[in-house]
Amino acid sequence: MLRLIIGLIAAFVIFSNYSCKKERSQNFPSPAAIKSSTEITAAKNWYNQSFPKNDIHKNPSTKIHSNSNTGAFDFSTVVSPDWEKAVQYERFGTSVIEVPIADSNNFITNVRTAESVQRQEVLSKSSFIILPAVNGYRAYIMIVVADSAYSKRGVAIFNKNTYAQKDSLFSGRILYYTPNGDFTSGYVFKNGLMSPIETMEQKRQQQAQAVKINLVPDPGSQPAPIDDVPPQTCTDWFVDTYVDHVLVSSEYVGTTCSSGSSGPVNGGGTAPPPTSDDYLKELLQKNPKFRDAYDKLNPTEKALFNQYPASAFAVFANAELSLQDAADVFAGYSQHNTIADAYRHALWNALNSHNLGTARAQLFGDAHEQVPNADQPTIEKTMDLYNNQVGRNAYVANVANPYILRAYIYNLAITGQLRMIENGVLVPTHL
Amino acid sequence: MKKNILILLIALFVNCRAEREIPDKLSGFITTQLAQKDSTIRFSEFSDVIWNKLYVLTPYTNESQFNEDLNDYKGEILRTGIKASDSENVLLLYNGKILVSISEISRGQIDFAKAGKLISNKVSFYTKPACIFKFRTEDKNRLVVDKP
Repeated sequence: MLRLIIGLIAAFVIFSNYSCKKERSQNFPSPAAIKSSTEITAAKNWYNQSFPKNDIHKNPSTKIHSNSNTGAFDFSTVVSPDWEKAVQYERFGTSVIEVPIADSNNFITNVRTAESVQRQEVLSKSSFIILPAVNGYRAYIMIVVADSAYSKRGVAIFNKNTYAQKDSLFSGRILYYTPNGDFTSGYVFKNGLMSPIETMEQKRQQQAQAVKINLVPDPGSQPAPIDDVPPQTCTDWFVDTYVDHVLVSSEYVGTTCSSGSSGPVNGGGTAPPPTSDDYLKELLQKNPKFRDAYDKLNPTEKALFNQYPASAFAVFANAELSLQDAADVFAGYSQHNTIADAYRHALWNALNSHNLGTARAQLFGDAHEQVPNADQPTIEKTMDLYNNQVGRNAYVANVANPYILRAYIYNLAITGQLRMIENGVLVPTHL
Repeated sequence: MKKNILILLIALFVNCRAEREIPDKLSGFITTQLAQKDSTIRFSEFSDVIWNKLYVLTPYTNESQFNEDLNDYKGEILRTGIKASDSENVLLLYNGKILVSISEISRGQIDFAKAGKLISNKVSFYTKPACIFKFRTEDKNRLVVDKP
């Protein structure tokens, strides 16, 4: 009888353990639990239902393949995924399926400036990127086009550039479209340095979001270098699409401007293409820590997170990393208004610059300080903004070798080039 | 055999403890104390729950600074976002080793950032009788609490 009771209690413990942890385990799906083949099959079924095959190769030049809503060239009518070559992996905590397009020789894209109207002989390739969504999947077409100099490095090196991984010397363009041909985002690379291509609408939104930095000069000390807004040179980009060597579409996709807003990719790949509410919801759903952090954001930060969810996730990950690193490096120090606090802010902004470029890193850094004055003393905001700026400058100074950023910023901290608060006054950092 | 049953019951208790919701018992009391003419918050007079220790967690308090009491409730405490927050303090009431109240207090309402207690970089507590805090106005009408 006693054994029966023990058995029942043991069963109850196991059951309750399952119940109590169920939500957590759903939030953290084990990668091992997701079988690639099952995932790919499910994605394939979804894709075939969502984008029924349409054999247009018979006479592409005489058909109009436009998205009925936007008028954009509808890629799904000319390309389909080569499912035999699909690969599945995890990125940013999300399952990604990357599939090259089938019959790729018949689908060629050329990214050009307004001036260079002639088609150039450069390497290009296109793949489907399929990401999980709340009600199934979302598909994007990633178009990678090398510039002429990089093309000379050969196909083998060029083909190493994937959604997850970019060659650190990659020069060219990467564009993301929906299968229906709507441009979602794009990046121009020069020797691994990345600049986002911004549509006019994105530019307007970013300007509206921009928060003006307002550093209070620190008397008696050398002011940290501030990013001046350099004179900008802008380039408009167009994408020509050829099917069976016939030009079927020529579309303006956006503009890049040379400024301080570039950053290296260094093999980490570009930010994921989608910037939608759905994508943010997914990230929040899959990452309880991110969700908790999101809930605590101020309204300016939330607006920014909604606008740039992929960037926001990188910003969050960098914040976690910086928090942990500051606690390790300056163990024994309070993390508030001290050298550890200064180091953390500078490192966070340097890492954000590394991932997103200095302009967007500043947007996120400034937004974090947009709390009502009563909630944070002005001197603390000044300290944080100052150290954020020094962190971004540290990145600019180390673009060639971002891997020494941490040591560089530590050195800034211990040599008094960051700021901390002592007796209610901003002072150079010291141990 | 009884010992085995006891172990299993303890396992059951520990197992579901992580899911407990800790109430906020203190916020309302603080609001009423701010109206006191002598600018004093007398936590020692707070008796809505049984408690004997007050922890003041200041901005950016992280788990490396947690002592044993706080580590037992690490999940609940970190969910407040204090680890990455500039704009709030977290006040914890303990009865022995049991967390009985967890309150997130906006620094705009009243700022406890200077009232935190660290010993060897571990957060430490105030005993109930010592919990009498003076506050004053600073920097554009911000209410700031000093250590007792």
